[in-house]
Amino acid sequence: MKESARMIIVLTVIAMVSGFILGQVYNLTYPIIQRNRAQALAGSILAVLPGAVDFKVIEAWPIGGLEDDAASLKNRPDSETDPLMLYQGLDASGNPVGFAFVAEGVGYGGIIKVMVGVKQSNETISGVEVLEHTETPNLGSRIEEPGFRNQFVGKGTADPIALGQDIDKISGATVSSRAVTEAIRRDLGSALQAYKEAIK
Amino acid sequence: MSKIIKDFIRGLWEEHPTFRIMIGMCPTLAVTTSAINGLGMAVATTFVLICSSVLISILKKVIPGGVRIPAYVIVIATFVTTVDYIMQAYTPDLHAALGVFIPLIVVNCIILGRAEAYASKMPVYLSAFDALGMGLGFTWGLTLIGSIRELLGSGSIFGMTIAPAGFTPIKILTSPPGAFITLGVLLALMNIVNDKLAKRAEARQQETAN
Repeated sequence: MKESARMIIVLTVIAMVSGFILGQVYNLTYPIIQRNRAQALAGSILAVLPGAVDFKVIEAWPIGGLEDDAASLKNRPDSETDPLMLYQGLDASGNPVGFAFVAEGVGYGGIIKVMVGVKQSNETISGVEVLEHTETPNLGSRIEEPGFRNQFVGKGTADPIALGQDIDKISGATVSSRAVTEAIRRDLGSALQAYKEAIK
Repeated sequence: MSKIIKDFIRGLWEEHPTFRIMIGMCPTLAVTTSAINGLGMAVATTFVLICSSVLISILKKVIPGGVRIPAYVIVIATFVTTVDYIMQAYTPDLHAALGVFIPLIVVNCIILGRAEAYASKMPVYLSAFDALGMGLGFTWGLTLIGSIRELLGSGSIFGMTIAPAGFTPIKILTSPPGAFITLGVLLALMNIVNDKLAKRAEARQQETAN
């Protein structure tokens, strides 16, 4: 009896001390972790929008636009009640140069997220940055290389944006290349439409 | 004093965790796609190993035998989670590269193995040196495997391209099978070296006997 009581007490104390320490570490590092994430996001937004020095967040809904009333929102499935985040890039004098949005596709090793920048003047892609992926190192991970990403620059909704047509795939990484290409093709039109609605 | 040195040296070669005892194989095979990944993983593991060995050695009389394994796991998990948060805060790039393997340090056999086999029986200072030796052994092992795979598989070292323009990288070395191949070749080389060392020692013994 005495032995089992000791076991319970020792283990409880160890677990409580551990919990307390972890809480403290979490509180100390959480603001820095959040700042890192925000910085990484801001960096990629500015990277895909040449000329932009600052950006503004616009929440938009891909169908119907911002004027959507609460009643119609309520009737939508959950997945569609999340706003589409658009990042409007502003130049030094505060004029909009374009916008950026996040496109998602399923690659070989998991979800691939890319930041896509669109030029305001001619509604074509001005840059693509890979935000996160879990593709195979040196094969699928080559979607990060400028040689692949820059193929999308200058493309608009009128272009096919398809592997083998106007986009060359990375050899040995068809699935990863296709995931990025199709995510951009799929989301470009709706993001552009949502952006136009939002700034109207 | 000689006991300290012996405990420290042991993990570096004689009982090298990766190449001799063959434990901690999961991170060894999974994260060593590049030199920096191997080094980062090993340094994180070494930190956790030293901290938990010292703490477990301090607590060895307090923790009852019946709950020692859950107690060790809590201690190790606390250090690992701390490292995880700190890396997310201060080295986000490395954290992104090592990803899921950081939380898995908790179940790294080297740490629980040293806690059970050494720290729970030996004085604190010896446990610290044992952990340091094992950690550094693990570090040079993972850095070596990572360097070989990065050099031959991507033509670079620690992210710097050093291969000449005509070099064709051996891509398989950066994929999972490449980890097994590299590890196998290194184990073979290490066995050759050990055989030679043993033979030399034997010859020396005979000489002195004659």
